[in-house]
Amino acid sequence: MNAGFALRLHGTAASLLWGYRTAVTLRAWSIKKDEGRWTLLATVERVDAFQARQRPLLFAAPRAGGYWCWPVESLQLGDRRLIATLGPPEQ
Amino acid sequence: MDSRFPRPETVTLTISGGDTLTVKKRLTAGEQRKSFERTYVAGIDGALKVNPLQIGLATITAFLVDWSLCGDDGARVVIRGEPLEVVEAALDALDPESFAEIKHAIEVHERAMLEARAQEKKLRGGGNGSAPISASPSGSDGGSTGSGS
Repeated sequence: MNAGFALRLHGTAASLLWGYRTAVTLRAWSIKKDEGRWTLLATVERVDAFQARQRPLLFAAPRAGGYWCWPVESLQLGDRRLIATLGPPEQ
Repeated sequence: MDSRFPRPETVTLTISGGDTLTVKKRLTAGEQRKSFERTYVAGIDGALKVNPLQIGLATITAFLVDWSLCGDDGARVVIRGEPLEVVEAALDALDPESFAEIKHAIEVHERAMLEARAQEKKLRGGGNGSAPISASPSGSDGGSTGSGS
């Protein structure tokens, strides 16, 4: 994952989690922070139709020694694309 | 009363040396089925047979979410969110006593959860005058629909 000066992050693997369960598996993803709002754009690899409808969901992206995590505030889930508004990062 | 849809809740089990295991409080039907699947092997004739040696490993991987175990270098051996193969490899790399201790701790937890669920079902099924399925509100002789007793 890389962080740019414009507060844009991106990676190639991540998940939306409901607790410990994977609700949505993501491939390419990017996050940008604009006027205090974090917005996630991602390519969807796999969706668990039940878990994806549960709340709260957490966006988790692997990093060395752990995960970056953001709470998902709103979600638009398409067949291949996902757009989500995220809360402040938790870890 | 717990929902029929188990929430992804965890409990922490403490084992020797102060190490901890984070395990699923309850399995879903899907998690249980996948656990059962991992115990089956195909015979020469293609028929599926249970491999008893896999039962313990399948039970552990069904429940285990995380742990505090560290390697020789003092760094935690990461299993949370890792693919099943990685978790199984880490478990297989343990000394046999540690593997047995983890297996025992999880089996005790599983039994306790099953007993708690059984108690809950008893409470759900009686005592308040409204059985989950009943033939008639006025039926006082225990009559019911469907098969079985």
